[in-house]
Amino acid sequence: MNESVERKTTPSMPALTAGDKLFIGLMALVVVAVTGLGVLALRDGYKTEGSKRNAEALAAWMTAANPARFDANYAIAACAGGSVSPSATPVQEAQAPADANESAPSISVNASGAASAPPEAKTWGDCLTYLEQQSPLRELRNPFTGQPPKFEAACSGADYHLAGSLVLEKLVTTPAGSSIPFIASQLMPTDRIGEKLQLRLSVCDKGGYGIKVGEFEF
Amino acid sequence: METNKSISLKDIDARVILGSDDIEADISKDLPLRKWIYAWLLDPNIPGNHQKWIEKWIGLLILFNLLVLLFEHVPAVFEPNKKWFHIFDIISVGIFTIEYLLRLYLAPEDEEFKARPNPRLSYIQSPFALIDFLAVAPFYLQAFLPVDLRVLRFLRLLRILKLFRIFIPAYQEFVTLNAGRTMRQRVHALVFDSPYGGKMQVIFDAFIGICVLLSVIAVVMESVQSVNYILNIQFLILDAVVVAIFTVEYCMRIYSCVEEPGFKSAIGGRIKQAQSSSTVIDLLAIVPFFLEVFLHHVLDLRFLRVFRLSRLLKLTRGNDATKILAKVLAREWPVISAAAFIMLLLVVLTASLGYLFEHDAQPDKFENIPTSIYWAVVTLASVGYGDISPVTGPGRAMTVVLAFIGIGIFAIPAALLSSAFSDELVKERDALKRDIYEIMKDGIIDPSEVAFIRAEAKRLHLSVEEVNTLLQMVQQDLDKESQFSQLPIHKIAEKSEFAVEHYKSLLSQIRQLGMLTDLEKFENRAVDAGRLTRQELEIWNSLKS
Repeated sequence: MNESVERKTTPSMPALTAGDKLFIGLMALVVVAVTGLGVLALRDGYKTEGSKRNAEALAAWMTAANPARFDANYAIAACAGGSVSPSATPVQEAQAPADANESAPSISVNASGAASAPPEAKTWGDCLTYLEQQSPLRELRNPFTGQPPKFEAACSGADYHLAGSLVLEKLVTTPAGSSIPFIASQLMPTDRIGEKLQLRLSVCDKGGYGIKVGEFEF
Repeated sequence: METNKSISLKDIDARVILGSDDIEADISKDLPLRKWIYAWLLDPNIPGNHQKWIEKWIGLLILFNLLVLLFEHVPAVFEPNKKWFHIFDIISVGIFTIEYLLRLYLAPEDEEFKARPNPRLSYIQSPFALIDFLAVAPFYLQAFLPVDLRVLRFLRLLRILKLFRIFIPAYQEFVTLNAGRTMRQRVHALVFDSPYGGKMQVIFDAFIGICVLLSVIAVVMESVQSVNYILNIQFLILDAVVVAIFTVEYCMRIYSCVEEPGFKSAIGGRIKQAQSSSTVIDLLAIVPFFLEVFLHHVLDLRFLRVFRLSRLLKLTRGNDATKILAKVLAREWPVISAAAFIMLLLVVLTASLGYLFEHDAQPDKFENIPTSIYWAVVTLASVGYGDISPVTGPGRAMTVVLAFIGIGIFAIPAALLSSAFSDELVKERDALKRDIYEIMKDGIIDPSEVAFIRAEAKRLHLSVEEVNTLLQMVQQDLDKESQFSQLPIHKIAEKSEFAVEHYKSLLSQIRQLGMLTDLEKFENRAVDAGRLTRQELEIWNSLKS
């Protein structure tokens, strides 16, 4: 290609008609309207991002608390782990009924299946109260509502009011040979947290659909 | 390669007509080194050299740079791959620098600068050279001066300016082609195929195509949770930008469609255009965005997001294969609809029989006729998932028969389409052959005729060899016609120029006869035996001498 910007006089274009002017006006309007709508969509996108940051902060806190909360002198009593044998892994917990905690709150099942009464078994409700009232996470706000984020059972595309809500599920590993690797169920306030838990945290987006933020041990 | 001059039949070659890259450049080895390098690498007027290839890859590298610049602003992508980004940057700058130095070295060979007192200095001061310099300068600047990373990234955006090498000549051509035309006509030239569009229209189409592809890739990648988690905002921005572009394009088409033949009416023409399949596709491409913004409380967002994939259909506008397929479908519709009707009958019949024979044995699977339709279609289409299968004797016997019938019935529409598609291509090629025949009759193929053959060959997906075969066939036909004396008399009589030539040829033969034969004997014989009439004898007398 001959790279030269030739200095040519631009041939004149006939004067704009009323139709041309109308078209130009319409185009300008369209561009402004689409830009405005794009900004709206982007604003919602940033709200979803804010919800994700909330969830990430919670996940980070819970992940960081994981090894420490089983220490005897753990400062946050509400979230402290009980006197549980280190071998009581979630896999072994799966051998107990899924609702073992609810059906027998004072009993936990360890690896050997022997029953023992945990001296100070805390529940997720205790820990949640601490998180909502005393921890740095109490400052978190759901960008969609401006309220503290709620914990819901599940996200649902049918309910857009769930936008920005958190879904915390405990994952219970199924026995070897099962067609599904684990069962997920909502972590209820009454669930005991004395043992290590495998958790999955999700956040609901603008449409109410879940976005998985992470899986971690607590 | 551009073909701006007429081609004589003696020099005819499909590669020249089609602008094929397959031509060997005719560059003498005895040229001085600088001239030789220029001829091979940068001269736009030598067919078969590497100029076009270099231009194409430099253009692609600029686009890649643009993408890389965008991803540099996504920390989740940039941070783990910092090293690769840096390597790409070094390679890009290296290539751009080599290009700049090469052009500087070869400036004295360039038509534009060679006549000037100092060609290289003139080159350095030229706008394109300044753009090339700005594209690489920030990289070298950071080696000597501490430059803020953000400033550096901004300066790197200047590389996009290199695209002006392609854009400016196309714009100049567009302005020239549309001199004195109204704004609406110019808009029409840009968005519709027309002789006034030039390269600018090609660039516009390519730009829309790139937007479609980017948008579709984004929709597909949005379904990958790990990617969407990181790039959610970028996807939203891309979607808004693409929808803005598509909306403007839609308005431009509706506004300027009245310049199209058959759409002249200001309102009726526009309504007709809005109802055309391609414009409906354009509308479908933008509608999900607006629905998502306004009706996200009511509609399923996932459906709307996947619905955005309908943008892919926009690519069919420039695709001739889909036009041929649509033509074939329209032509063969009566037969296809008949086959579809038979298929429908068979499906209902099969489902009914399946229900009749199997319901008692498998009430859960053959619960009613509508639920049996799934099994009927799977069986007749020879898919056979196996999740539902007959267990009774009559049911199995019926399945055997229906499976055989299904193969035939379901194959009919496919065979019809395939054969009709092939017929259509043959027809189109015959039409092209007739056109080439007409074009070649005057012995010269002018640039507009070259452009026509090139466009048709592209539309019909003809290779260089196929066009060559067509040209040879036409050439042979023309040669045959030039020896028209061998043609039957009614063929000669069909064309007046052949008839005149034939008449002249016959007169010449009579004269030769008069010179060679014994005139006395000839006339005696003719008169005595009464072989010639008086009139014939008079003609003989007037011609023999």
